[in-house]
Amino acid sequence: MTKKLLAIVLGLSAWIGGTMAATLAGGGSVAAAQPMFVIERAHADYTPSLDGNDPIFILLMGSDSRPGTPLEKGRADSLHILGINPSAHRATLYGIPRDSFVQLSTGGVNKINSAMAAGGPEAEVQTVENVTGIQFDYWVLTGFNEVKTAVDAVGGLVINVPYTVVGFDQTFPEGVHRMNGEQVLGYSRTRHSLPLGDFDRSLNQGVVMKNALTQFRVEYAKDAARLYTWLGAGLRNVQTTVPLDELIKLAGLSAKLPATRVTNLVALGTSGMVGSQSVVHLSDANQALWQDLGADGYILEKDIPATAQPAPN
Amino acid sequence: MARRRIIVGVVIAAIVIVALFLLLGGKDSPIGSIIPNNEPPPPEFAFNHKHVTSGFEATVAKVDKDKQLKTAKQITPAVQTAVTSLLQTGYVDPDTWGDAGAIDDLFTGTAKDQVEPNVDTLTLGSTAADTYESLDPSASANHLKVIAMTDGNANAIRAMATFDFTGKATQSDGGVAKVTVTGTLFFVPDGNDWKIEAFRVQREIKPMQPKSSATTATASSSESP
Repeated sequence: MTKKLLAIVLGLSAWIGGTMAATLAGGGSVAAAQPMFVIERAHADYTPSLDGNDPIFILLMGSDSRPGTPLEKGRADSLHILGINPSAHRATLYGIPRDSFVQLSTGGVNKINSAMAAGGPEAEVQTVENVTGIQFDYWVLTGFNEVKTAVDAVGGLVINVPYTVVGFDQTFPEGVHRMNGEQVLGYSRTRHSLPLGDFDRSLNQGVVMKNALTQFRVEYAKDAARLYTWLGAGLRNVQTTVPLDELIKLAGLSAKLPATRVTNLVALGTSGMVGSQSVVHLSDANQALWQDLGADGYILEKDIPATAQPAPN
Repeated sequence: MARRRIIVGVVIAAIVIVALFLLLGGKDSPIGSIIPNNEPPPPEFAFNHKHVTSGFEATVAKVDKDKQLKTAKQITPAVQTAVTSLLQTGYVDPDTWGDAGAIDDLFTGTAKDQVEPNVDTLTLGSTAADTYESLDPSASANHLKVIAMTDGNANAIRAMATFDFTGKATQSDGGVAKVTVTGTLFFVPDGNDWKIEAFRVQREIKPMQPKSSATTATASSSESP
């Protein structure tokens, strides 16, 4: 027993001594004898993101003001409710036809787009809030030239055109195309050749925004510095109440929000005439959808009535 | 008699083991704090000034570009200091490899909470000292580009730094590895300083092939999340 103990202790000493000798000799270790040319890569990535269960609502407005006229003095010809649910990683774009005949926050009943010309962006926001019951956290306002400039500043947009659209001065064939600012604007404004006119135009504007999201996600994933390119291009060409902090968090959220999780739909309604005006009478069926959207910031496609979403072509 | 020899042997062996522990336990050994440390201090990293550039991203449409660029150039030294500090503390100084506490003052907001989970990329790593003894930064293979996000009054409201950094890490066994760190850091102003609010950093460690074993070496690749 004692011999065994001595042998263990001496063996241990010899092992330690041997290791020390090898170390002092400056090499000869097992690791050195087996060269390991392994390239080790590591990656750290963090962008603050919107979080929580509370939905966020932003009213996106496109002014029809011509050059020389301030954006806020024009009519809100393009209107989209953007609802976002950060924790569910879902969003919804809910287009409202510009000719929707509604009670205006500035008084009287008229086309919904005229509220901005009468009282500015806040009056337009108030009008849409009164109509839909949705309370907005922020608004964004842009215009024709601003859209063109912003798109060109990010190098154009890749748009997946769901069906061929004959525009005012050019045709946009079905398929994937990289469009410059002028083309994106042309595609977004076209309505006369569309089966459902203004309803389809609003839907196509949603298509553009979803494709922009996809493109931003791809570019940002490849090169984080693209964040500033997109933020700068956007901020230079909009008026908005969204703080920069929130915009950066929206960018962070976009990493978790593929376009497939963004529902794009347009309000239900029927075209009609009031006097000599062509108007849209919004359907009562919108109320249930707005309640759904207002509750959690998104609407699932399965919950949309078939008539609400015009089928492509 | 034999029993006495055994006891003496055990005592001697124990003394040998304790002595070896004290001598080979490195700078953290009890004796390490008594014997003066003759190790040279870590090198000081600095970006080559020829490789530091400035630019701006305006948030309003009509701006005086010269004023905006002037602002960008004014904030560049402060941002450069923060990036340099991250690389010096996280990569060049062996004493702070893997030490989240040593770099987290450079971060702010929710990004501060992300330092610890990402410490193995934001520094050479928490186990780097097991493999490497030192890291010598390249004097020339480094670049820094600072972009100021500017408002209509040419105030810098945010900043972004893209950088690359290369160094040579010396392994404990005498081997050498090339360490490359690239990244984009997003900053917010904090008094006179700039703090990191978002980051994307990539690190690559590539063992440099000894000339003598060039014909027998094999290459492979691994990636950690």
